[in-house]
Amino acid sequence: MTDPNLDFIIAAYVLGFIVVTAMVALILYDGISLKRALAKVSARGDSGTDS
Amino acid sequence: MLNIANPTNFLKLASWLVPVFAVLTAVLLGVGLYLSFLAPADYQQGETVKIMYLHVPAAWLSMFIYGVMCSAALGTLVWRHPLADAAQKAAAPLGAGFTFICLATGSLWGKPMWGTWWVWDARLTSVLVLFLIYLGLIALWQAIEDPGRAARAAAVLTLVGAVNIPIIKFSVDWWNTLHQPASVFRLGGPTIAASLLWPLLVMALAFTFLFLTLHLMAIRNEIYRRRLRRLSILAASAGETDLSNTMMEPAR
Repeated sequence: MTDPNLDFIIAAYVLGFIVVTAMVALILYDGISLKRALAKVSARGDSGTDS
Repeated sequence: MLNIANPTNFLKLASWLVPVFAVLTAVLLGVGLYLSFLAPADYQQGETVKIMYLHVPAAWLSMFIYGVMCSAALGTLVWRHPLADAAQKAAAPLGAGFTFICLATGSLWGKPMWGTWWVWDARLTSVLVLFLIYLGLIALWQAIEDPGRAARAAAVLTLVGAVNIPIIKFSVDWWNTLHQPASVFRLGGPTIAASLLWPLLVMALAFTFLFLTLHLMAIRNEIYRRRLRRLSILAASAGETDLSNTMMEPAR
């Protein structure tokens, strides 16, 4: 593809890719850290009732 | 029938819907990108038309997500649906993300085609206002600590901001804008050649499934966040009870 505006096309797709990847990564990271925190609180609750 | 108003039932439903939607998104994105790059160049825009396969689906989603948020806002205020405010809160950052893609790719298309990155015409300005509304809603959720109060305030702001959606849609008809009028969703049918329209429709479907996947995941995170908050409050209040029993009389 030889187009005088190739830079703009590539920049648009790279930008779209970065924003979508960032949204996916943030949601995945949020989910993992919430699950970890929930597991920690639940474990603390269990050990509290045991003692 | 499965009652998805129950968060536990919703989590069960999401656990199998998320992988299915994720696979559909990946397949549709692959096909959409393949068709987009095979599509012929436009007789005026040349290959720059390829930016439209990203810009138009993002623009469509920016308004669709706001529609989802309005439904959720009604669910919060009218029916007090337990998952409505979670759905609304989860959608706002996604709406902001897709609106940003729309604005930025539009700007990258505008520079070579119009000779400018930005003009203050009615369509561009109303979409910028939509982006600012999304940011305002995210800030509102962060600013109010009580989730119930935050949900009601965000629902009211969302419904007030809904007035911007018809302005975005009809701005190109009501005012003399540099932005072109509607060429896909219009009464007389699409004015785009089929060879350019099909990749656009597949990409729009791919973006819609991408949003549905991310939205389900974000709602699931919101349910976890509430469980964590509830457990933390319970743990804190249990600690207080112990202290009040052993050390002093509770204040009256």
